[in-house]
Amino acid sequence: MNTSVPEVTFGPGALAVLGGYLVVMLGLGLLGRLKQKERSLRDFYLGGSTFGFAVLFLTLFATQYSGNTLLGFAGRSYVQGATYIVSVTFMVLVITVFMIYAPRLFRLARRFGYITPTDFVYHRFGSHALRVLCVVLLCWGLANYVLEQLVAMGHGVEAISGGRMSFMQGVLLLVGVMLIYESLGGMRAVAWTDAVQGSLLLCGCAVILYTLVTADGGLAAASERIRATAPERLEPPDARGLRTWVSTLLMLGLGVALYPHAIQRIFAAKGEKSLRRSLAAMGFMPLGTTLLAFLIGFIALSRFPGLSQLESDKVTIYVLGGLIDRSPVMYWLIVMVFAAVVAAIMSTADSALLSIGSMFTKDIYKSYFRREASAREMLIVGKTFAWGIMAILILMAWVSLETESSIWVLIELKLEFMVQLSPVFMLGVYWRRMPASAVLTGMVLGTLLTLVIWCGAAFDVWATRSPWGVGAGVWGLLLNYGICVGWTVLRPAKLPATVPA
Amino acid sequence: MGHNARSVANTKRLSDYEDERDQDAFWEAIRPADEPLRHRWFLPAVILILVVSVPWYLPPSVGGRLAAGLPVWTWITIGCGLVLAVITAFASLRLWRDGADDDGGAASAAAPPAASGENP
Repeated sequence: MNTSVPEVTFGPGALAVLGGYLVVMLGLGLLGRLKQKERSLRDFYLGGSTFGFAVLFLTLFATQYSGNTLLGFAGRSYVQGATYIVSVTFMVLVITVFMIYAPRLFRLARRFGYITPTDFVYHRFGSHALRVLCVVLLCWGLANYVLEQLVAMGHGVEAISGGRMSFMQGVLLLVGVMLIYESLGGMRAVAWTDAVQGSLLLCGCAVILYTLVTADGGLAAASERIRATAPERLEPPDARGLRTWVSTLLMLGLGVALYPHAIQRIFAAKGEKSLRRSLAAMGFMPLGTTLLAFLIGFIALSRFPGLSQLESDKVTIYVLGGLIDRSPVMYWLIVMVFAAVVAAIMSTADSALLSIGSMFTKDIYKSYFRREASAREMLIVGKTFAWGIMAILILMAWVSLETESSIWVLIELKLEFMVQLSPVFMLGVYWRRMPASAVLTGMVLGTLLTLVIWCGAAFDVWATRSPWGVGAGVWGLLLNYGICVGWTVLRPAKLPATVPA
Repeated sequence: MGHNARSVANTKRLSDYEDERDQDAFWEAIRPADEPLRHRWFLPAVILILVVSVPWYLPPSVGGRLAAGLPVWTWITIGCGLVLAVITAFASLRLWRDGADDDGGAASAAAPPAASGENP
């Protein structure tokens, strides 16, 4: 590790501010419970579908931008250099992909009262096997997503407390607060806390951006330092790099648009107008937040060269730590930014956890174990399941620390498999003749191919999990789409006689 | 299916169907009054922006030349991100019209039934 990395030490005043913030989150959870209109799944998991533009936008924003963005993306930018500017494009692309299926999914959700994304899958295809596979892949993705947030939480609290709290103590503290407010108030509490967290995040990002481009000679000085130490990180990508670029665009652009908690926010919209305006605003957010994460990594590369893979996840903390002693104003601004980072992490983890609980209870427990389960029983089961998953993930956060896995590896591990659901939504809402068997076969074989490439690389059978510079999940996705399209063209589903030819 | 039967189907929630899925009601409900993909320029425009955003066409001489503190070629990608965001916002605000109020009642009257074998 580079010895010039600054230590971040906050005084008791700043820690009190962060403590106060956690208390406010608990208060909002309690308020969410008091505002519950009924003990129904719709009320708990979708906030009764009452979110207008402001809440919907802030909850989408706080959910989409997370520990991944502020720590993981910055870390990746540090490792990869200027070519990680691709992150700006793929995060905008996520919203563009929503434009393809959200208009149709929103209508269906309104008309048929969907609560989970897999409600659509079963309604459209009528296949139990497909529904279960989708739930497994989505829960796998979400569990990894929560795990990324836990790792980010650990790093964040360890840094804020100046080492007085360990990685695992930080994880346990934040998870405890999160589980309490979420279990109390469900989606309503999560969305309200998201609104607070989203506002903090927006302000925090604006402060960091301003500081970074003005302090220490700004970007120009940073680039000159990189040119002296690692000039290749300023170069455009070579042929293999270009293929990786396109692969990343596809995997992230299509995969992130499938986050079940983001899809559930489409279901939670009060109306079409709120949703359209929120998504329109979300399209511009990467130009602030993702670009900022890229710049943080870029500046860290100029200041702290030679960090390890695991240390790269902390570059945001190091860059901010380098600014903390400049003035009292800057100190408090950095405190606010750290609160925003913690906010971003918690708001994403809570949303993902809520989504896991909803899919397990509705799509598995009620459908296959207890069809007569009451709403109250399902809520209890959902919360218990979410708490159980969280316990396992806390253990895995410890394992990831021990194995020095970076957040970016966890991001890939999640998206390469979750992206296999893409044809279900992208083609499923348009192509009536596409049969369930085509989608199921495509998804199974696409997932298997991805798994084989990952396992082969993990057990050193071959050198990389990105053959020819293209990610394993993208190879799986190409096979998946090929099967869906080929099968449908050759053996399309029969349409009922009532449908006009 | 007659008009009355169709109206009844449209008011059902998914849980009312149990395992019997009414695919006619599904495909009838799915089409909004307008959507971005129905505009022929939308998808080609998105693909064009993505193609330009990948710096495959740059001569090697560009190298690490800087502009405003960042390599010149990264500004092209950032610019493409901005254009994509503008097009996405335009699509969301102008090309997407649900054609129904929050109760979703007016849509099926306004929109024609889904055509068979619709392609993406």
